[in-house]
Amino acid sequence: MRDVIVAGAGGGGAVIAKELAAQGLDVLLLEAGPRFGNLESDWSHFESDANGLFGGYLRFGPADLSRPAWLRDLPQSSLFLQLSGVGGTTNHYQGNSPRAMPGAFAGYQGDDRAAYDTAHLFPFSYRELIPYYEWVEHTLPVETAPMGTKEDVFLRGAQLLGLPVQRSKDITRAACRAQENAILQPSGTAGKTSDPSKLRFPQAKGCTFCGHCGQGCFLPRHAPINLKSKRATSVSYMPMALTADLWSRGGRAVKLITDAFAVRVNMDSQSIARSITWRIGATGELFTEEAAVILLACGTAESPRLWLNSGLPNPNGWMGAGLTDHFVDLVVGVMPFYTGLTKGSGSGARIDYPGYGMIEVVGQPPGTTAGLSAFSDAGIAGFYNNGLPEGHGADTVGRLLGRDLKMAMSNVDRLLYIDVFTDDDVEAQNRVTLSSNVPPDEHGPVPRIEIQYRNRSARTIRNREYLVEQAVRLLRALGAARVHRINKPPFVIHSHGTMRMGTQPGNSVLDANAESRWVRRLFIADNSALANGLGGPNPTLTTQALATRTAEKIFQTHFGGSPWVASSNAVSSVDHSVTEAVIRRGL
Amino acid sequence: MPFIPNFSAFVARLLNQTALVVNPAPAGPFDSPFANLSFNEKVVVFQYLDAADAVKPLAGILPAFTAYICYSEASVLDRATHTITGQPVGWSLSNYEGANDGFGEFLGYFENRRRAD
Repeated sequence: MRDVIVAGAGGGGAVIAKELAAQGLDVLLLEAGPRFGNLESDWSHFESDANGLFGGYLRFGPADLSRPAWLRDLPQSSLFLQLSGVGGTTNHYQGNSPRAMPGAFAGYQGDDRAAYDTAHLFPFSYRELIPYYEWVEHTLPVETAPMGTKEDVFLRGAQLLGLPVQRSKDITRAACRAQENAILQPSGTAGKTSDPSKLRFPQAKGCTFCGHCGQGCFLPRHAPINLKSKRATSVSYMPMALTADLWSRGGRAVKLITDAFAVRVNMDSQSIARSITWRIGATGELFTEEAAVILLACGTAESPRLWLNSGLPNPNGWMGAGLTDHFVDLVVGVMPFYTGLTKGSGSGARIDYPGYGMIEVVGQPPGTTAGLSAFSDAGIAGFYNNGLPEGHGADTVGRLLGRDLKMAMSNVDRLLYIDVFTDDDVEAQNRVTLSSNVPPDEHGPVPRIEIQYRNRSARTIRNREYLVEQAVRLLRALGAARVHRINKPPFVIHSHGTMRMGTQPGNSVLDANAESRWVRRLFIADNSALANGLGGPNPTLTTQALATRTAEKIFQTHFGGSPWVASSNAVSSVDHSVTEAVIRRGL
Repeated sequence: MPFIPNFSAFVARLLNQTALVVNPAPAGPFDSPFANLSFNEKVVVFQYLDAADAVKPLAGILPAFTAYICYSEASVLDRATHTITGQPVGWSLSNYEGANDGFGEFLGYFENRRRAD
């Protein structure tokens, strides 16, 4: 019998697979999407090639791109941006890796402790998670972001507002800083030239400032896969997982099966998870294998879907419930000077506002830039506002279309985009269930992702409006010629908590070890496990730290092993031993 | 949104039928009534769609997808080779320098600090 089966090789699944494999366990890792084994030949910098939502290579769909993407039921104006494939959603993320706000955790005693979602705290202290943060930060690795023009401009604006600088990784106050990113810092010619012939490894190492984080990073060209700039788990944790026998004493290489969609978790009469069934996309064949421990890391929509489709118990009704998404918004500045919006990393600077959330400068190519400006719940700028007039001093509210869009887009590298990420409350009404509208696909009933975005809590709305106001103030301080508040409907690039751990059994699915309360030996290692929205920061690093902690709990409880994070040194995914292993194994 | 076969035909029909509510006889060179509307009239179409619960999700994403396609390289993408066959109109309209392996944008580190404390 296998030791562990992990369903999902994304931001969390690849982490827990690697950790357990490095300890010598026999790990099977199932991934529904493609392998992504030939990045330089299969990927490009083109938005419609990468992000076509339905036809791009970065999508939620089968490995065979000729087959349609898998559908979800979204009963509101919204976008839910999850990816399949090894690396999962980290393949198009911006690598932002801040730690969570300490106030989101049990035992927090700061003066602002009442400012957080105190009814839905993490069931352990922030201090307990720090060693796991450090472990992941060393492994990925996470590095302080270099400055491009948009970062420089944004931080100048922050300082014009009188904001201090956060110099520690722990968030202690409202302050600005360079991002802590899972992106290798530039060296050699990286960031110094636009001549592609001079940007090949090893002449260039680290971030080359291409501006295409969102299209999947395959740079620098000719670098071994574990030395690609942006540390999606496809280039960091997965290479380590597949070579754990070579760089880790006593380690055992993970067995990876792609195009393998988990369709059922099988539980025995004692409520113990015993096996998992998956379907191979190319052939339709079903396979079932037993394991001592089963881990779900399919994402916040698919992990609850798998649970519900498996007929597993849901006695308190919280399976799939409590989705938080940071209620994202966007404020656009049309600046009278160059900003370099389309260049550099996706986001290299941020401001954290404990108790409210955070804002960050973002950049992307022109198609995405225009599309983001036209995705709003507040009507069409200058014409109607759907009852949402508030702009906090912005010139317009709502979709930028027509003349406004053409004017804004006339010089894309003079725009400054500020994303708003709200510390939003956990509310049961925002949830994943099974759809009765969209027909089942080949894997069963599909997820219905419901977000009552016009009916959010007062605290959530207050936080969002506060952050929008700060973004407008920053752009005005910089002398923006025009400021546009977009006011988005759910734009779900961060999602958390649909199988939340919690302090109370009555409103949580997982215990403090991320084991399900109702089915033993079944653990969760993706964003679903998060207890709340972390106070607003980007969730991936916290999910990865939590997955590392969960790996230790599993190893101690079910395999008689000893924890390792406190007693050993993490091996970085860019360590020479890993590079040698990757080359030796032909990855 | 409920699952609907022949989705593109549905979208076209929805826009054109709503267009005729706004202007029963829009003049213009196109077969599509919606395409012949003035910009202000098209705004009214979306005001109607935004107010209709059944189609509001569609109304939310249509302008975003359209803007994305216009300013991306979608019209000249050769997906089989991952290349483009010409200069995208949207890149010219937005004065975008183009997709590249990198740019000389590196300005050092904020406060000259390469590491957080």
